[in-house]
Amino acid sequence: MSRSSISSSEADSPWRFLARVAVCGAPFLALALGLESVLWRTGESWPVARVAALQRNASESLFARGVLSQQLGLYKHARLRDVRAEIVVVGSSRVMQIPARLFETTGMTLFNAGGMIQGVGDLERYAADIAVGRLPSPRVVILGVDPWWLFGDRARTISAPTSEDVALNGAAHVVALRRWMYGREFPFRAIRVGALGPGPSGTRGAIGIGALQYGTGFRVDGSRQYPPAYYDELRRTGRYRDREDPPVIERIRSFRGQFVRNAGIRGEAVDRLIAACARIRNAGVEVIVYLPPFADECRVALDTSTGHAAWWGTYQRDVPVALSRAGFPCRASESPRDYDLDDRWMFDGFHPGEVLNAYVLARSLAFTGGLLSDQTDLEAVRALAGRATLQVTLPFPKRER
Amino acid sequence: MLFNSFAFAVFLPIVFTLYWAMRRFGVRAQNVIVLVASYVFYGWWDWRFLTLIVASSAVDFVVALRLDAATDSRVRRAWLGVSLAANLGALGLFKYYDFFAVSLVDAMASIGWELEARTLGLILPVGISFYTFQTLSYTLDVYRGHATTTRDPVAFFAFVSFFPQLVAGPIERARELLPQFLTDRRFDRSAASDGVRQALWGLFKKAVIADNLAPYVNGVFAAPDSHGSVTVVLGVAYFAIQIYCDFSGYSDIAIGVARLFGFRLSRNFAFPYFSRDIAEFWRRWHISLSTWFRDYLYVPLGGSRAGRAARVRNVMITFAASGLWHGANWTFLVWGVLHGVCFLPGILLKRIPSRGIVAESRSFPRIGECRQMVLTFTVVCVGWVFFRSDSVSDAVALIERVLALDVDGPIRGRGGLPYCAAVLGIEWVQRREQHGLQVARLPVLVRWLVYWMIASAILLLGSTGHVPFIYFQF
Repeated sequence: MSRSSISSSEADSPWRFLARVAVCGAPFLALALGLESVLWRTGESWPVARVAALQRNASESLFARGVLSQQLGLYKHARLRDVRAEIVVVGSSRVMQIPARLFETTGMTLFNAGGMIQGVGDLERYAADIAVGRLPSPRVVILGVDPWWLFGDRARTISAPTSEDVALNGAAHVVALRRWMYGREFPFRAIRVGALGPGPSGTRGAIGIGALQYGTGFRVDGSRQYPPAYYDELRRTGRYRDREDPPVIERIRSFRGQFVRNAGIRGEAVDRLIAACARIRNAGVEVIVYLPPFADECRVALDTSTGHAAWWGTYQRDVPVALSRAGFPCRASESPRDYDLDDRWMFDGFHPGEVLNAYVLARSLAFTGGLLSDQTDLEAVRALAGRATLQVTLPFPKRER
Repeated sequence: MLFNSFAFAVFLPIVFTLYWAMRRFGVRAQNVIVLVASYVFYGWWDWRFLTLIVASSAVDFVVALRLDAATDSRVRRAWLGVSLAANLGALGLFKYYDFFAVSLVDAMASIGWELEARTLGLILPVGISFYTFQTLSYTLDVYRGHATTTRDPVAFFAFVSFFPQLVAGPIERARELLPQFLTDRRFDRSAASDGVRQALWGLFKKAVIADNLAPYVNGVFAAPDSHGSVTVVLGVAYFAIQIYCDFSGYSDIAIGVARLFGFRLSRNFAFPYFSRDIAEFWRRWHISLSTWFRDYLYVPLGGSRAGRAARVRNVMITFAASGLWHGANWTFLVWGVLHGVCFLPGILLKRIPSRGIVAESRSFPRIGECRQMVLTFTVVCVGWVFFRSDSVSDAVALIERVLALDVDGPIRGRGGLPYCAAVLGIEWVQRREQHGLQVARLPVLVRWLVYWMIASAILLLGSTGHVPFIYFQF
């Protein structure tokens, strides 16, 4: 066999071709492996089941993904099944600032499932899950109801507790890479910790790039720790700043987002809300319903806006009446000034801080009565809130940033 | 399994390795690998669909053997009838039954007869129109004596289900592809390299261009009344580019992947938007389907040899059938008829110029050529309005929206222009080649740089939602 024919045969070998393609694709393979390594070491790409298992045994832990979807429905469902808490807080992100220590004196365990329910449809599913035993039945449910749940187009199921975990989805990882590339802030700290550091188990239980980079995330009790930078800015400037994008007050004034012009609260949605609460109560659970507060500036805007007058009036007057008639005593939505506080006790226009929530809940429980009210030392709750100075969180061991 | 999925990214290297490792055991062993891989690929959607493709293959394999054995022309015609009935029957049942049942009931209602439509609501098996035509071409060619009968069931079943082109073509002729399953296949590095390039280019067109234009197109076609005329025109033009990149992207991937396994598939697209008239457009768009209809419908009807009236009839029947092949909806029929009408002048005057590549020896086209290309593109876009709309009335409403000349409103969708400019610009430069990424003549480092740029664009700009190819629904 001639020399030239040997080299021609080798050149036409599929294995050499495969190797050549692999070499050409090596930069992408290296990038993918590097990315996956960082995602794993930061805990970002840990499946929710693994996160739940770690938080089950941790006394202090924060979980927040930074580039992959947080998948609140999936995460909170997994944790709810795991924790089997006696008190469960449900609602949107507006109820996330209710920590377990608020009810320490009751001796009951609390899990905050805030963010898991984004509409009446979600609440109906939660009620069904309790009724058929898919989720453990607590002794008490604290439910925060947002007005837009009762608008015509919002009374539907939004969050997806049964969706696929994006940690296991390759396409989601590509999206994560893009978020890094196009994001406003490249997560150098998370990458440094992820690539060089001891990994999530050695970084005070911070799981995910959001937790590592910004010190934010969901605590073991399900409540949300806001980034320490928020508190620092508040201390430094002494001024309230609405951090939503766009700010809630702008949404109200320009009828954007949840604040649709001339939105109407539908009686059918209220009926479904009451029916879902009743179904939870029929499972032997005490249901405390409250309407989470708004910032003072937002409340004033809602009180005076003709475009919002119809639904706001119904939400403040008729919804509490309807709930109370159905056996779920409920008060109108408040704002910081009702407690001689100001908007610095809000994170933004519709996310109250822990202190304000403590006051609101103490007053709500005094109004509703019942098991939780009986077992809670409301004075102790108020005292806990009263000890807070110029910050929106309760006294709490500060996380290292 | 979708070409633009992670599952396929894992599947392909495994099949490639197994396939070439089996070469030492002969072509039959390689065909077994192709057959198994094809059934896995197809069964990935729904394994139940496999029964149909196996049945279709079995019928035509047996029919061809019978055709070969029979000498009596009546017996041969009867066996051909079995193949036609089985293939077109399955196609009719799954694809057209509900449409014709409802249309019949509507027609009866219009003359006062109230009937109740009994629809079946069957799920349309992916790619049924493609593999039905492919396997049908085998029995038709055997019947006519244009193809030899194979007695190798593995080769034949692999030919029908060959995974790169199974679900959206190119629709291969038995006389072209089947012999390749029966002869020794050697690995050809330059062919495989060009195959990878073509597949990469196809993936770029699909994931970066087509899928990024889709939201603009969907927005316009969902609610034309809420957009100004310019936005609607943009939406229609974007659909023209979207469907081209989507479908030709699939064909490029199919042809490229087939070359990795030593197969040559026929060309399906030849830069159709650089056509200067409708006849040229149809020589460059979905070539494997248009030639199928030409050879198995238009020519048997009499083709261009007949008188003027018969020629008109033949053209209109062929285009109407081509339209209905795409789907059971009046919109596809109108689309086909519209193209038939535009095709007629050339047929009637017997003046269909045999055009080569536009501006072949120049960098830019002449003004007259530009005018012809723009006019042809405009006519094609009018057809796409019907093709994309849910109903004929929706299509008419959209055209009315354009003709209203409402230019006061905001122009939405300008973000799609860079995508269109990118693909048309690259393909213009490459119009003398077989595909947009045929760059084998460039130095190796420049080539690799081009590959990395294309791959980066797919990674950073491509859709990640695993959007199905548009032609899968046909």
